[in-house]
Amino acid sequence: MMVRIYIGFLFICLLGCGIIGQTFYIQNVKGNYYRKLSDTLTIFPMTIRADRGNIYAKDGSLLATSLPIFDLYIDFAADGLKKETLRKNIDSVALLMENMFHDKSAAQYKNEFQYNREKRNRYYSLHKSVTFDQMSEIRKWPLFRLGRNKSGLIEETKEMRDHPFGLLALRTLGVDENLDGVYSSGIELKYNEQLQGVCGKKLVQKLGAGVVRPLDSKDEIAPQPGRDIFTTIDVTIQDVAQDALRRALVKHQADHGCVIVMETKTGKLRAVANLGRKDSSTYFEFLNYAVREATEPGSTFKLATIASLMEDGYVNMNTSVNCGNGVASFFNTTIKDHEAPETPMLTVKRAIEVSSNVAVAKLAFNNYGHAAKKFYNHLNDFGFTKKIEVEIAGAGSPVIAKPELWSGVSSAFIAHGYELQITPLHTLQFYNAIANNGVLVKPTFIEKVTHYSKTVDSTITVSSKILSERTVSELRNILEGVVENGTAMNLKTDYLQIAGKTGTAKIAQGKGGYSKAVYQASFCGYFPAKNPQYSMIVIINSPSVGGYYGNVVAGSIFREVADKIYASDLNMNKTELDKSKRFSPIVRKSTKDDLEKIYQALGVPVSLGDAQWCAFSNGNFTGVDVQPSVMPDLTGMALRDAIYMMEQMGMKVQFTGKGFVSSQSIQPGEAVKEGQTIKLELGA
Amino acid sequence: MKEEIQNITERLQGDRIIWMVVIILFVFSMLAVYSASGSLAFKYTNGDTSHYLWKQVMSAIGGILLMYFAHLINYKYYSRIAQVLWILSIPLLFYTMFFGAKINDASRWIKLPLIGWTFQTSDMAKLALIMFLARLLTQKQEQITDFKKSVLPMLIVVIIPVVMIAKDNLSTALILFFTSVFIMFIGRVSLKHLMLLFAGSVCVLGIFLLSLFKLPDSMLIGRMATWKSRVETHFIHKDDPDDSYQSLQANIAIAKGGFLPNGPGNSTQKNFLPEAYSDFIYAIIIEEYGLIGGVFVILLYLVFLYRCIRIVVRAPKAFGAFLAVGLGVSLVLQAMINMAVAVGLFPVTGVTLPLVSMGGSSVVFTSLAFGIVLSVSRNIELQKGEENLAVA
Repeated sequence: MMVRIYIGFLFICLLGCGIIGQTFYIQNVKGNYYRKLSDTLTIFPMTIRADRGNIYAKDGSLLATSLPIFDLYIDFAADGLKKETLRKNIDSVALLMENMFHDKSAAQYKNEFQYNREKRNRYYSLHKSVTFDQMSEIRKWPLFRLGRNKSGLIEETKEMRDHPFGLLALRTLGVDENLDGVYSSGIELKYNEQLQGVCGKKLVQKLGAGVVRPLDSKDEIAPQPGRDIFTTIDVTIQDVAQDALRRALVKHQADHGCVIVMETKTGKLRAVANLGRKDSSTYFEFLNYAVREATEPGSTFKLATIASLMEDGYVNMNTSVNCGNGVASFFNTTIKDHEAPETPMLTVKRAIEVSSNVAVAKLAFNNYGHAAKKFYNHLNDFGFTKKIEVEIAGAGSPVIAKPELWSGVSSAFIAHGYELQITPLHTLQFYNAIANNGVLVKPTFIEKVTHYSKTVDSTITVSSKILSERTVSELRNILEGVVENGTAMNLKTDYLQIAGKTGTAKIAQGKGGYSKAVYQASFCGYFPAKNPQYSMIVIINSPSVGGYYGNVVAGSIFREVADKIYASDLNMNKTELDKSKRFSPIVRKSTKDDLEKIYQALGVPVSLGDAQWCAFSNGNFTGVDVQPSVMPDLTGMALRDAIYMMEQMGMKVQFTGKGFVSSQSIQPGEAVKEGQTIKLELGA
Repeated sequence: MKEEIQNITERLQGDRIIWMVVIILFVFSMLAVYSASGSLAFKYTNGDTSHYLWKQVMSAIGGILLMYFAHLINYKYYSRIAQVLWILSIPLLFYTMFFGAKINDASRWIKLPLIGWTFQTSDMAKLALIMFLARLLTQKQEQITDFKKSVLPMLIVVIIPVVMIAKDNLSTALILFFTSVFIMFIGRVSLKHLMLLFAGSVCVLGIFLLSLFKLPDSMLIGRMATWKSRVETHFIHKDDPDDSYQSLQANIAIAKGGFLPNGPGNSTQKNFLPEAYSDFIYAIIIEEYGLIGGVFVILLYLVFLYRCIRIVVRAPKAFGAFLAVGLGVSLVLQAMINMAVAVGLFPVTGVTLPLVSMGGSSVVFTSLAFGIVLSVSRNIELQKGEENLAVA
């Protein structure tokens, strides 16, 4: 028996040796393989997302910022999710879901929970795009407050762009249509690289399921947050423009429209409103028509023709042109005026005021019919032949034939705004040059780009002189005339003088040509006429109700927006102040020190003299003569000052009422002694 | 103080070396479980890492108390107890099969009414079976070569619980069967009969494996699919890392532990290795204590087995000898299989490392087994003492 026992013991010892041998084999033969495998299985680089930069308005209002949103899932087979816990909480969670999201009934939720629990679904989609606030609530709910493992709740964080001002200038900012971090338009697209920042990287090691720890490595790259973009958009002006545009679009049942407001001196775009029709009463920012849509500009373009002619010295504003009965033939085509002119002979100024097609067509045809290149070169200088490189994606290119390809009548047609397509921004840029004394400035959306609050890039005004002083003053005279007694007389007010030009273009629609033409009403100009601060263009496409003329449809929006900007802009509204009316201080008598402080704080220069006490009368301060032992005149003083003065003289003060000193028991000039009591009456 | 300790050591009768092995294994157990249950603590107790340590300390204290009381009982009573326990285990196994708590399609556990403790009936059946086998071997020693009179009753005693366990816990059943045969071999059952038994069981196993792999998956009932995948994992796709995450992580743990110890608590694999605190604790021990630590643990079990054999030398053919060797072999074999699984020599089974793995109910029966062995050694010492006295 002992032999068998030792055989058995030996067998078990061998088993032990086998285990030791195998351990040795794993450690020394396959050791490196397994150790390396372990590293690749558990250590990996993790991307640290960089915060996307914000987009601000001119005044620092936040236009676009990133918020976290959450997609929620439930792992119904989570280790810690107990049947009992789920059973107890399923009703409350279902009810809370219904109350928060209103998308399914509590019963539906409960059914889904039970079904997916049954199926052991490890990735049941509870709800998508839950906001941060909602998420904070949800984390407090029964079941979910138990945490990831015991409730099975999985939160997946995404980034959502939030626009605190809603639709305001949305197309200019750019939109992430599918919530996937890919921007299809606007500043977001154009400046994507700067906004998105640089992702960081760090090595992390997995410490069991779902838990990682960062490895303390020198290779860690910290994420660089995206840069912030300060746009030139003025929230107030943008709001006014967008609101006026919306109301006009609804009123005229137009297809779409845009309003651009630009600061004359700098080319900074203060508002870019774009609205397109969704249905009869709702309009939405679909496309950035203002910078994207190139169409035939119509009458607003006549000014470019006149400018060109003036620069070449062919005409001035008083040059006469024969418009006949408002119809003119060029080879086999005719150009008609909207209505026959008052007299056959019109000055250039009058022709533009009444927007005569015939006049500009004739002038251009006569002067440029055989010198197309000359005309083209001017248009090129005026910026009509090139795409405007603005800072948002999707700027439209103008369409204009090279002069070599012009037909005999091209100059006549281009002269009044046909046979070429330009964007609203092109027209505005040119009108702004007129307002800006002949200096063309490139429109810009961007004020500056900042990184960690430091400016890293700011926009430089790009400008070039395109018109002579003489031409500018004549063109401005003409544009003022349009509003004074021309096609835009309806826009004339005493309050704010504006200058501009109407346009009512027939727009060819694709292959249908002009037969299915729609109208495009426009108005482009600047204000105040004498000292231009802003230029603006308004374009309304296919108005269908309540007229289609530029002066009515577009002009009234221009007027409304201009008035509101003018009313709210202190700089523009500055009138010379009458000094005597300037400001009457309530303080009528006080110490020099106090008064000095007050006026300094108000920023009003004042001369107070040298005396310690000052009194105000007849718009000037005079020193108050204070003698020892002689009662001064205290009337008009505040109580605090009066007590101070009396106690300095060693007197005791009693008072009644409130306000300023109106009478005193010891009359001014009487001799006083220390310790005497004076009674003061206060009043308004 | 010294006197007190002396007092205790004097009261602790039985083989002092076995007591020492037990204490050292428990110390290993507490260190390794504390380290390996970290992720468990993170998941279930909000990071209260000492929770599982205290549980393990309590079960070690309970185990030692149980051993102490078990070793106070004269081992001769265990002969009768074995019989009763064995008979009792049959309906319990039956109950477990149909009404036990199901975990992963396997019902292995039952809940004691009133107290609410759950325990694995197969643990109890195993203890009962080994003890009963020792009783039978003692009784049949005179006619051990008679198949009908001795081998057949033993086989019946072995086969009934083994088959009942097999349905839900095949690996335990196989190990139990093998252990029983091993004990029968030591108990002088004739080699001829053992060969016959071996051939028979190979046939049964062959038919079983064949049906496992030849039958379409849809016809696999109960846990057959699990067995199939486990066998496949071990023998067919051994190098495919996706297929055996557990074995792979165990291998990595072993590879990370060098020859010398890394130090307690320094395992990184404990967080990746599933069941690091129970079935695979040996891999964590190697990672933290090196190959040296691993060898030491193996030696501890071998020393224990050797001490059991020493009992036989003192009292051959007695019930005590068979009891001690039977239980010793059963425990050590289980330990070896657990370690062999951890290092990848055997396919994955659900066997714990006696006294070391974390786990409540198995500690009870393991401690009882140790206690019984100690009881045998204590009584033999007493007898020797009396004999010595008589001689003097």
